[in-house]
Amino acid sequence: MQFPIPTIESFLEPKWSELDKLRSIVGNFFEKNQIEEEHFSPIYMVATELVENGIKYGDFSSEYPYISLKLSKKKNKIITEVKNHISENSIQNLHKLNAKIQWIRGFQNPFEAYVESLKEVSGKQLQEGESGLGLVRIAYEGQSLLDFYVDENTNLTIIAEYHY
Amino acid sequence: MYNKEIHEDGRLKLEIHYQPDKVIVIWLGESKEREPIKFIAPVFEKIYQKDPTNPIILDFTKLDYMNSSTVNPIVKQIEKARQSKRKLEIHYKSNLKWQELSFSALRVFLVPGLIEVKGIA
Repeated sequence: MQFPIPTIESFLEPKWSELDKLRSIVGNFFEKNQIEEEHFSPIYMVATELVENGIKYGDFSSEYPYISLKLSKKKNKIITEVKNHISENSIQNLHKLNAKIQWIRGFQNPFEAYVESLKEVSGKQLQEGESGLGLVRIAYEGQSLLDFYVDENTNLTIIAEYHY
Repeated sequence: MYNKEIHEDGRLKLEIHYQPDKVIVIWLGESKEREPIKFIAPVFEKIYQKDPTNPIILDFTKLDYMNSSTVNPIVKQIEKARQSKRKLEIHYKSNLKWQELSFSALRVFLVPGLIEVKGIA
């Protein structure tokens, strides 16, 4: 007999103010699943970074005009999934996303990837707003493995798997 | 000279304590604006105008959260201090795991006697 995986799914509008809801969404998930508090910070950070990315790069003019945040617990894993629609012509961004994930995986320790990214940020001009640190921070500080897929409706789902 | 200033943007509050021998910048709340550099950079420009020489302490021990976009302006301040040979210390709470992971990585910019990163228990 299979037990259902404890999951919660929230639908967020693509507005920066929606980030204020994440602390209570993640908190409810932890409470419901009786997960130790020490894991809260990494999961809250992972969820926030992924939803921020969704707001920045999503296309909300479609039939899927929101961001879905799904949190699930499976044995000693917490899985964060963030889904949003992307435009047909954002294939370039997908290549970048894939390259970044592969680049992170190329390091034996995500700390090394994070330090490399910090050095890169240090060399950038002050005007360059995007730090490019979000995914690498998820891998290092969020201790999570990253993956993604795009479904037949051009919805992008980024998955972060945290082991504890 | 002792002077205190408070700057706020969204959920982030920066308390600037101008003391005779140092400037302490206390970070409070959460930094999760889309472009926090737009708020943080001018605050530091003002600090450099008001006190161009004394050591700066960036105190993150009371910060609850920051997004990755906040790391950029912090790194820029480290770089600025290094270039102007101004002493800068970063203080974080070492028994908070996220702070330990996030701020200890900034030791990559450490310059003994100039740029220091200290975990406070």
